[in-house]
Amino acid sequence: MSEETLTETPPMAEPPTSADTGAFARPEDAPEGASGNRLMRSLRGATSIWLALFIVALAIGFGIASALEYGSPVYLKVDNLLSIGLNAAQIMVLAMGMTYLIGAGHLDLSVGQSLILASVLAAKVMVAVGGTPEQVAADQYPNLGLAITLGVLTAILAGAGIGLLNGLIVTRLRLSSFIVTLGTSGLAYGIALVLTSAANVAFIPDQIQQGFGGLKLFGFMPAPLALALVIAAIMWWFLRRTRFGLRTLAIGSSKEASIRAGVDVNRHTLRLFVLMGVLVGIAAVIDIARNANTNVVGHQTDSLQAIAAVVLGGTSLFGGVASVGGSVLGSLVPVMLQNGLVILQVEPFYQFAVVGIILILAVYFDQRRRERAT
Amino acid sequence: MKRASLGKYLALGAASMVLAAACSSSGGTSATTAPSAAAPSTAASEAAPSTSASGGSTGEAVKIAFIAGQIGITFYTGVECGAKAAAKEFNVDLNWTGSHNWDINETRPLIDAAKATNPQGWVISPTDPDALISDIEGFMAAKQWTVTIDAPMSKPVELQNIQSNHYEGGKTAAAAMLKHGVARRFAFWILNLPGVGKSTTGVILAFGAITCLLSAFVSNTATVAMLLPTAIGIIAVIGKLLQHRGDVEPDFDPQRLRVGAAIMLMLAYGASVGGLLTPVGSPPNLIGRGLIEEATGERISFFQWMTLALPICLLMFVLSTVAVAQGQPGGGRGVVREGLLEFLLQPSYDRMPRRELFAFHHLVERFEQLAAPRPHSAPASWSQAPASPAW
Repeated sequence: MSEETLTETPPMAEPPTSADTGAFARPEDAPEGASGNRLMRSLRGATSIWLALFIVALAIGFGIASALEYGSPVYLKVDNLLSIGLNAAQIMVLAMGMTYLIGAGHLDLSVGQSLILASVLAAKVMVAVGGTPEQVAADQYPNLGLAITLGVLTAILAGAGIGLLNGLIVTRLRLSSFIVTLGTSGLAYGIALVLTSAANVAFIPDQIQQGFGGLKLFGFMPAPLALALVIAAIMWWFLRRTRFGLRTLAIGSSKEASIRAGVDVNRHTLRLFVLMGVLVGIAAVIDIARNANTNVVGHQTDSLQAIAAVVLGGTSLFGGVASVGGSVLGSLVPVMLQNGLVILQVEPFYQFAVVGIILILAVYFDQRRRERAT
Repeated sequence: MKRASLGKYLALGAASMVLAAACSSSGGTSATTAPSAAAPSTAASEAAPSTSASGGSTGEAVKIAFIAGQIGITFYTGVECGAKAAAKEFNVDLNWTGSHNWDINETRPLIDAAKATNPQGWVISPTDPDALISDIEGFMAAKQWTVTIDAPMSKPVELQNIQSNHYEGGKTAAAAMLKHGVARRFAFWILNLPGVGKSTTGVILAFGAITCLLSAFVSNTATVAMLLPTAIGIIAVIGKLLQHRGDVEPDFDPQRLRVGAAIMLMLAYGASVGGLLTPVGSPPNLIGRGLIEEATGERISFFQWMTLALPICLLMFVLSTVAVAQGQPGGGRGVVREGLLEFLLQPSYDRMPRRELFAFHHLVERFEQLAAPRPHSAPASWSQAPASPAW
């Protein structure tokens, strides 16, 4: 199926709205309604720009407030800003995959639990390959390199496996991804707990924390954040510049139209779920590397955090419109808010409420702005 | 309730410890010797002079960041109240925050945020025993003295780790139960059980059974600490009943009741007997089970343990009931066949306090510190009650 076919095939059914169809198409391969496309494109870009402005305003606001409190704008210290990025890195990676899935009109509620399973399997492999039980208990890992390599591979394969399962159930059994992933989240979590008896995997080599999780590239850039940003750049490129990205948004915009245009929707959806799974595996590696431990009791709200970041970034929950840049910025907002509120010593219970209110307000204003624009 | 009130002490202890460390120029040596949560008031009073000394010279509040583990639960609300009270008392600029879940990924952003404020001390709930090691090592190296609370680290990199003292918690709970009349209510409930109130033996039996059951799941010490006020309540109720019926003088001291000693004995025996019933009943069970499993390679499940322990417990319970109920007026003789244990023990509570001696020893073992009378527990002198001149 080539791009030409998509653009040259006359639409058999009228797409739902012109705005939606415009959202996924690019000017060079969508001659019809080009002006509308340009408008939508610029608006879509604008969501990220507005969000970026909001983030800058937030940073300046917290900077001033922290300066009033501490005499210097501690919030704007490079270390603090980078630690915000570092703490957002995991959700950022998950939000990348979620951007594609939501862009294609699907959801994945299983990411947090799949992440736990992937990290547990990876940790078990690392400990088993690293050395004999006696050796690892004494902090000695004769096969350290191999262990970490295999562990990382395991995490990615495990994530991809759950993604494949999600995708197969969604496409073959034709169930809503919302329900399917809700089910597989329980499945993944259950297996992880069975494997570990709900105790974290012991004797994960510390070297992974020193060598990656706590590593600062060039003396300041946290390695996990750098990895997340590289992934974001690749994902951005794929969404905006390749057929893969185009089809993703086409499916989200109108599944019917995509099928009629000759897109193998099922296969593409399956790929998207596997992609999400691979990113879950990468997030699992970041998790192990940051904590030098698995976190089997955590991650319960990861999928919702990722979805919130994606929606905040201007991706439509109904599919067809997606912004990788927006998702990156969206994943920063809750961490920035929390960080600032802790520095300003706001009572923690208010912090939850403030983050929630700002999330709703941000999405509301974005939506209003878009409605006015069209 | 137990955790909550304990939390306050815990926080108080933790806060004063960080404070002591932050204030002492010698680098925390005084803090490491500061007493733990078990004696929070001592810790506070020790810390106080150093605060006023350094606080007076600089006039600056000491900045401490408190990263709690699971705010929103009663325990950490207690911790918060304690921490804030201590902060007020010792002129601390306390930055109290915490994660909603016991989740290292929620704790990290909070620590990173607080880092930007450059506090002089930290109190952290380590939501992961490994993950925070390098961070805390960094804090300690930067002389930001760090105390961890509620959970241990896998390596002792912090200044001090403070955790709940369940014995003290049980005591606090017991004192509260006594103060607010919960104990009396519970006592009435026990006395009201069908058949119980009819004889002293019934009371002893019912009370022993409840002690056993509770002790099977709660630590023996905590069980005794919790049920002690109930026991005192029961004795008081019986005393009142006797006074009401005119069987005794109006100014009769209920602690002189024979049944009182028996109930106290039953409390001690019951807790020990019940502790055997489940693997979690008392720590030696778990240790023993571990050793057996290690030696034989056989896994002993919870229920296997219980099936094994139940007959033993029953036998011990019956024996202890017989021993205690022996010598009780009225109902006691109905249960115990006369002369069955004559060779074992003489039922003379008044003259020869052999059993009391034994019981006292037993109780002292469990209540090393409880013997001191408390202002709010009226019959707190119970431990000296039986035949005090004899010793």
